[in-house]
Amino acid sequence: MIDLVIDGILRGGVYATAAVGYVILYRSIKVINLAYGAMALLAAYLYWMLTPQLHPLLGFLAILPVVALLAVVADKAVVRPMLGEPVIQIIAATIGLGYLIKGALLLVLQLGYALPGYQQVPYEAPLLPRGFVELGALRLDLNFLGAFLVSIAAFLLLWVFYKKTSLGIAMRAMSNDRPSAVAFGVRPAEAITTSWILAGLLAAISGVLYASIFGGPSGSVEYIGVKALPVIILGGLDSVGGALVGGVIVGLAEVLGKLFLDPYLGGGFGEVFPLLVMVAVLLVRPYGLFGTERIERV
Amino acid sequence: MPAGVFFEKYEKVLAFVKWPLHKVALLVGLSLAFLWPLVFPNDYLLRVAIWVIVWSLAAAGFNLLFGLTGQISLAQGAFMALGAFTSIHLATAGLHPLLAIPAAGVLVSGIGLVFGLPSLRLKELYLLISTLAAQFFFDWFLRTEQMAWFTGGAYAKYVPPLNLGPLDLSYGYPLYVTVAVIATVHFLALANLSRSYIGRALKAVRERHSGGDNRS
Repeated sequence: MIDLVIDGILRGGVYATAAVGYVILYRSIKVINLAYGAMALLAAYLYWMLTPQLHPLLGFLAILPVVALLAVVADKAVVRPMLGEPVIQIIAATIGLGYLIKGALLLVLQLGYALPGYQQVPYEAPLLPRGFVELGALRLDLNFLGAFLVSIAAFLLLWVFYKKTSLGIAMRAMSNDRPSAVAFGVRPAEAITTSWILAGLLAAISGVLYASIFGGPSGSVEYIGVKALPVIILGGLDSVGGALVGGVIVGLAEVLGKLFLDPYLGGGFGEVFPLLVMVAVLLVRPYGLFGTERIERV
Repeated sequence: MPAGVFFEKYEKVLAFVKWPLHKVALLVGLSLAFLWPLVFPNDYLLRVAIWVIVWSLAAAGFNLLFGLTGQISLAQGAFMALGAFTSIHLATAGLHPLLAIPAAGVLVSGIGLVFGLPSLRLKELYLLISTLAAQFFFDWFLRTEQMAWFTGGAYAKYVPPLNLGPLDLSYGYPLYVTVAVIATVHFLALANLSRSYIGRALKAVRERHSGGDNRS
């Protein structure tokens, strides 16, 4: 039981990392990027393609700029020209972008089959150590623990970026009060591009970590984009700290749902249980647990 | 078709068929839509055309919800699946297949109403995410072994063939005509709805949420 709780908290860290990618973009352009799952999927597969040749850490570092570049291209090509249109239309465009990325990835993989010397059996050098560590009475999975620690490190870096650097402070100002920030000389284009780069980096990190804790890259890595949605709803769409709390709640809900409810309701209920929790929370508190409340009649 | 507005009555402005040219266009368009398979009999094209109509009908339903009322819903696919399975079950239970389709529509609207409840409190992004959650929930729900009695599990579900008395409508051109007639009726009903007072109320909700709430 206690093992499971810790397991839930650890995988919650990964979900929180993914959710922060949504939150950063939402803070700067008020849009949810539903191509996020596809970007994470791309990162996981790129890592898988690179690692037989490269050291795992080098491979991991090599894919980060690639996915960040993809995010910037997505921004410049698709989302930036649409800013100012109704939000839902931009989101629909990001859904299309997600399918485009997935289709391109599938095309590359299928073409790869035709090439000589293509690895039929996927081999991946694990980024995180496999095995268990005994900590008193606790038995921790090193894989999950590593993923959690990397997520926390990403969080700390983000925190430093937002608190200490002038660009981070400018981005916070942008999300709080756009006209005043622009009047004080913040360049909106710069802030938006930076938030896309950060979102791309977080997508890459969370995609690789998710693939690592769920046993290698597969189509299911894309669900990180869906699993992060309850996280941002529970934590509030514009709260970075809330994402961490939401991530832990979602991780716990998933694990405990698997333990207690799967036997009655069928396998895999744990996977959708956080979504139901999210709908229930939305009915009680429409702006999440930590989100900024807007007084507005619906 | 003269340029300018020449109508003296509001009903005339709203009418679908305003000028003689429209009558010709309607006649040509309908006969083209229904008769082309007789000129080019091609099973594959027919199948593609049926899918085109099916998806356009699904999109029309989404258009009513999002385009007219401004309420985003990403759970459209889930409700399509529920409707399909419900109509199959109603048809196997003995209801006529052509009656089972609208009956399933009524039943699934009830479920849609339950999942539409959050839309009373939520707007835009939050509504989008909660309907996306509904989509993933149903995706899981219809795949579980507990629901195998409903969905047929790993095996496909047997669909009773569409028929109208002695006419077998379950393949080829007869199926195409059935689907096209159903779609035409629904498109007409939707177009009609959007110009009625209900349609105006829906548009008012889309344009300004609280402004639409002026009923006395």
